[in-house]
Amino acid sequence: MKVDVQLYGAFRQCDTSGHLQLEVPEACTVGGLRQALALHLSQHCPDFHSGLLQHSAFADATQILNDTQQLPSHAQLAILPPVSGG
Amino acid sequence: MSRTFYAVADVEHEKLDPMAAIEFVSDPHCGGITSFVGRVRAHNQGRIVTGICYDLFEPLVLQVFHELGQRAMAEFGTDLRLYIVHAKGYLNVGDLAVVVAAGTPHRDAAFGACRMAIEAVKHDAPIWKQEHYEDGHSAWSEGCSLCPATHRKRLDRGHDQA
Repeated sequence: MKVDVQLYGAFRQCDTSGHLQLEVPEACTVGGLRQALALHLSQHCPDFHSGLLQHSAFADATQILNDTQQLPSHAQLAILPPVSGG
Repeated sequence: MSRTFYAVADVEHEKLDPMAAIEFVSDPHCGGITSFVGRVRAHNQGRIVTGICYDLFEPLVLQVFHELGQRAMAEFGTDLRLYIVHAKGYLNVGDLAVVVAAGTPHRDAAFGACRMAIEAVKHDAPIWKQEHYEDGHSAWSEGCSLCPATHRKRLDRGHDQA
């Protein structure tokens, strides 16, 4: 299935459109999506600091998602690098 | 009337207003009012900063502010009035990035709630700043991870006072 991931902060440099569409297996977990994103970045954005992904969280509009969770269907997903508000 | 106000302000269309924050948390039952105003400063880690661009995942930012308000009321009482507005977009040096205000019956709770709120804004809310420097370069600030394991540990031991 295709999953749309909104990009924020430093991830915006990976695609100027502000989002990526990734192909993942049906019944994929958040951890599976993380692997798919790592692969995509290595192929399409090789200069990106790859270590940032392991310190980044996936989220939908209401909560941070754990890597063991199943991907919610039809959710707006986002990849969130470490935050620095204020 | 709601006791809380949370918003993201697109600075292309509106500016942050500390007086509006004070006015919102003013209440005949609140004898103590505290506020925090964050501004863009002209330097960071030895580099001259000319501006900051703030990026936000808006729906989750508002959710984090809402949950923060619930925690603050549990700790400081349901009389609490709380106001949080964070800027979105490009700010010049001196522009306001965040305004927080808390109103409570007594001063201790007002200081505590305001501190709790700004720490959550800095450490828990999905907000990022891209600093722009005098030499034309820019960089995203390093910050606090929201990964569940890392984030849970930080919440359990209390936020750093950065």
